[in-house]
Amino acid sequence: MRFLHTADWQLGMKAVHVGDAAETVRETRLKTAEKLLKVAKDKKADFILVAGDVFEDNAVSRLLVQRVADILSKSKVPLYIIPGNHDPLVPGSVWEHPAWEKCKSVRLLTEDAPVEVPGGILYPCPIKEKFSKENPTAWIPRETGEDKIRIGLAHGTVEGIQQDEVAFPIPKDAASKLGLDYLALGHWHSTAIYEDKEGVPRMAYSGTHETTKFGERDSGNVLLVEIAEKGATPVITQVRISELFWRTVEYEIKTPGYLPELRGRIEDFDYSERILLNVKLSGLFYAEEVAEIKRIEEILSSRFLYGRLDLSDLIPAPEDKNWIESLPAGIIRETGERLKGICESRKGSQPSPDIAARALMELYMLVMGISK
Amino acid sequence: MGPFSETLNILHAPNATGKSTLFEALRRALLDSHRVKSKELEAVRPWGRVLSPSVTVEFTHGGETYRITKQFLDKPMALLERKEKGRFVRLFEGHAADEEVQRIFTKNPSAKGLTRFQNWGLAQILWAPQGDLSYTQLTGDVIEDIQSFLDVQVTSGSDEGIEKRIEELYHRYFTPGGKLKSGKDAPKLVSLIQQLEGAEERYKKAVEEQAQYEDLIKKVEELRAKRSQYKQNAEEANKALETARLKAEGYKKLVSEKMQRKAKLEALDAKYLEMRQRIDTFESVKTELMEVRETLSKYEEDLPLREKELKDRQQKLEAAKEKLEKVRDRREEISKLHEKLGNVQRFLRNYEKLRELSSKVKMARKIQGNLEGLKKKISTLVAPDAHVLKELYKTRREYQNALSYGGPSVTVLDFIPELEGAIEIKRGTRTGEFRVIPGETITIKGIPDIEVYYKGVARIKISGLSLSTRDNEKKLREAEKKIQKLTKPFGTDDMEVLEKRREAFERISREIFETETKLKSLLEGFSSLGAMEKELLKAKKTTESLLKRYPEWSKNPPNVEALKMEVANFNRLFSEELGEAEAEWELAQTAFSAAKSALAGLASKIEELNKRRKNLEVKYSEMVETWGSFDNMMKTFKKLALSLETARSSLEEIEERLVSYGEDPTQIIAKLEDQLRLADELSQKALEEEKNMEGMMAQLASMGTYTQLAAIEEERAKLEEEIRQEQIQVDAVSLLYETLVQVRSETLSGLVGPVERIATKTLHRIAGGKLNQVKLGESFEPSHIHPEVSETPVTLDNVSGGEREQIYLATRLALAEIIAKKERQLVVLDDVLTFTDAGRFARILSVLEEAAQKLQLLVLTCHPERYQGLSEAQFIDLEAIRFSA
Repeated sequence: MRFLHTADWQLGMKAVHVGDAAETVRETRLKTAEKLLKVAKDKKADFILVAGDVFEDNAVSRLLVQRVADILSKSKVPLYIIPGNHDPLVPGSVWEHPAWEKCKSVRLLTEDAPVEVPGGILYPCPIKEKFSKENPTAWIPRETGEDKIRIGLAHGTVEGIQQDEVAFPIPKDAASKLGLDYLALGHWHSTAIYEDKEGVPRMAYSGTHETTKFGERDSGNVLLVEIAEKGATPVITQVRISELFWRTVEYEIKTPGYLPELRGRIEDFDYSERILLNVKLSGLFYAEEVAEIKRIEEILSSRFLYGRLDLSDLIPAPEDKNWIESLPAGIIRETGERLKGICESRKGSQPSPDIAARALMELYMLVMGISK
Repeated sequence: MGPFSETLNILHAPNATGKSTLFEALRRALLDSHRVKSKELEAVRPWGRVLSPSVTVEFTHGGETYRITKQFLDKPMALLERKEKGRFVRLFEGHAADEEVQRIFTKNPSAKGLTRFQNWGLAQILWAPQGDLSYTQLTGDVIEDIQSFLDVQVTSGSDEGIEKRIEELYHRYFTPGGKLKSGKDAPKLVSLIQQLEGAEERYKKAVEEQAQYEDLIKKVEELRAKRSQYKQNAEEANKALETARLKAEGYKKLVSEKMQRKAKLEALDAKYLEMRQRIDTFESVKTELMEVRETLSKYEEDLPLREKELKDRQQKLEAAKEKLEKVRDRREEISKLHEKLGNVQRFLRNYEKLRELSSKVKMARKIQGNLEGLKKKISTLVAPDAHVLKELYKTRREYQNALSYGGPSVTVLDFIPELEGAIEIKRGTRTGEFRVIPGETITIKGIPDIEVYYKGVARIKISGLSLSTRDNEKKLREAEKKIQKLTKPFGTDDMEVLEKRREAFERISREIFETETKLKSLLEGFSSLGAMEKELLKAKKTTESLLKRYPEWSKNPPNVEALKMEVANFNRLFSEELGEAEAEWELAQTAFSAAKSALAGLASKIEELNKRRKNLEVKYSEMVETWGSFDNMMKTFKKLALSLETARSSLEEIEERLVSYGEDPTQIIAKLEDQLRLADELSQKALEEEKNMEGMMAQLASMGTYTQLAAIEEERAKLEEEIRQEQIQVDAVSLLYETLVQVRSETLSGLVGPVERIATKTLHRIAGGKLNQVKLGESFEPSHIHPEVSETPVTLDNVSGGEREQIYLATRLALAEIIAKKERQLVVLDDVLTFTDAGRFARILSVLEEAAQKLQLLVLTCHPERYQGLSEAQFIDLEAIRFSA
């Protein structure tokens, strides 16, 4: 048995804080899903398991639902889908859309009932509400004695994951306890594989096929699972499928002259049009590097799908006061001194040090005649 | 006028004599263009005259003495001269003269029109217009001058450029008032905020729609759950209904059986009761018959005794009746006694009457005789009655009146004799001889004439006036006739005689009346004396009649009281006897009636009991004939009782079975049918509601509420990020500018310090230390004071009017002192310090005296007396100058 395990496509999701790139991010998720079908075909998968949250919400545009159904209907590999907590099987859900009726390649699993799949039996655990503290796999019968590979398909939180309120809890040893050869999970966006006591990987989060935000540990994958026979160790292959790259670059500036180097590194990024880059600068700010910062900002906004430069943690370098001292004694020099003093004050004090740093930068540009 | 003292000059004049015009002339000469035209200048032109305002001012500047002459409005001219070698030499004319003078006095001359405060140059500080020492903001040129006098360099040339750029940058975002710009010049931040506000609105709507969608999902789920529950309810109700129907079948059969058994029981019960009744009747008839027979026997024994008793009672009754009749017969004796008593009383009354009447008759006859005598006497007396007498007096008065007014006048002679003698009145109202006594006046009247003869002395004749007229004479004659007519029946017209007659007549009349009254009183109860005599006769006859019957009374009059007692005793005895006899008779009669009644009753009862006995005997015979014997009847009854008990047990048994059903299954069926119907209805209703909700939900789903929400949230986030960035920029610019302003302000405050110190010192001298410290603004205007009692400075609004003008004076003098460091300056104070009290004013004079050592002071006032304390001052009387001119 060979199948692709995926989940959490979150189609139609909002992509806040990425500005104009939001629509691209959304559209890419759909394209990556389409790409996934091709991967399945190429890998000669018997079927695809989608462990919930195909859609971000049941109230996504019906045009999107139609588009997704149209895309999936072209799949040569059958898909077994369960609704997740984002698109639970509730009245008016996306799954009631008539488009699914004609989508023969998709088998929507709406009941807690075993389903025959090529080479085995699938135990689906569809989600029918947005939140529950009940274990969705609880219904799965233990070992039946049949000589077929038993696969579980569920959406929930594996015990041990830190969460304020655990939704749809799934025991860590659910697969081995229930006698499942593999339990395909959805809900968490990074890939995670769980081994049983014997060190056999029988339970895994495939993670989302396309990263949803900055900071996700290991998203953008799909799992190719191969199980030779009942009880055999599943062979799980992580396949990178993500089209976009969400990168956070954090640099601490300690000495002057560092920014050009940073700029060089940013300029060297390949596929920058597919990268969402969040650059966070901390450390010391040297006035003479204002122009460099402006340059980096330009590169970020022009080359990358999305670029953000966060300077809020920069403070003017204490030793960087030559330019202020070079000013003739008088009001302007005193103004510069004072702003610098504010920059060096404790964070959170008023006026805000980061505002003062920006003001100082403005003064520097005015003094130096640098135009914006 | 002039020349002025280099120190203190007090120009004084009453109101409206041109003090302020002088101040204005100074301004026009030194600051205005000679070609300027304005209403204010027109106002300076003397009233009703076409003279052009002109002014000439001599002044020294930079060690040189100048003279400026200007004429305004008609034929305007300007001429600036400089004193050289003791005489003025023409320096500039026209516009050049204007400019040269303006150059000396201001850096900011008016481009067009009259100069305003801002064009005054240092005069903004040095010259205080009428009554107003205050100033708000000095212009930049003046501030610069002050700074230059203070020898302070605030900014370098390069700083100035940067400052300007900072200000430009700031004003790219902010208004001069410090608010974020709006409108077309608004910074990007403003439009971003506006966009965000718009996005917020849409966001709210999208959130609401999304929430509505979520809510609808829940509602539909609930409705589906409800419907499912209703369906389940309906199924359960259906099952229960089926069971209930089966139960109901058995229940119905049992009910039918129960009815049959009940009917049977009721029939047996009826028979049992009937039998019981018959047994009771049989026993009752039997007992009653025995009782009747016993009673009848007893009554029949009593009957002869009752008959005997009746007979005895009848005899006793007859005896009592006889006794009573005897007693009653004695009533005749009582009647006779009463008759006698009546006659005795009548005799005695009659006897008394007779005696009384005899006496009255005798007296009445005597009074009658007197009365007749009086009547006879009065019939012979001719006297006028009261009416005639009254009429006569009236006529006599009329006669006298006629005499007084129309007839002969009355002449009166008072004769007062001195000797005793006699006179004879020959003519007069009364004639005849009269005796005269000395001193006693005799009044003699005549109508009109009087003639008196005094024998041996004189004959006196007095003729009176006669004024009679025909009418009076007529009245006189009529009166005479009437008097004659009235007096004719009495034979005299002498009123005295007539009065006496009248009195006699009245007296006799009164006697007659009294006598008649007396007689009438005596005859009371009788119409006349005759009637009384008739009654007397009748009484005599009655007495005679009674004496004839009771001759003994003629000798011994009867004793009525004894007779009354006799009658009473007889009556009492008779009553007692009669009462006793009647009581006996009544008792006997009652006893007889009772015996009679008892006998009749007994007979009646016997008759009745005989009837009952016969009836009961008939009934008993019939029962015996029907049932044979009583025992037979009891046997039949017991059998019946047994059957009844069996039937009751049978009914109870079936009732118990029915009770085991609990509620009537047929009623349960009805309830279940209702439940089923209700469940169907609710299910249907829920379905309809569900469809409705689904429709709404489908509508919202088709809108893709989440997709919309996502798009708006992204837009919001983008805007928020842009706003954040812009806000940092704006805040940074604001901070830069504010820091600059603060630094500048602090720098400037270093300039203001010396001025503040001098002004404060002066103020202390004027007002004491209470106001403590004068604080000046950036443009050297007094902005605050810092009193000792206050922790923080307070604005000038918090001080009195007097103190405010003192603060301004102190500040002006402080600035003037600084300005005057290089050259002595002219300070003009036009009618100021109007709110300052006398004490402080005196101290101000000292201050002015001291200031005059460095400044030339020109004080315009209408109160020169207030400045008398300035011994060194030059006082100039403007009015005197005007008159001398």
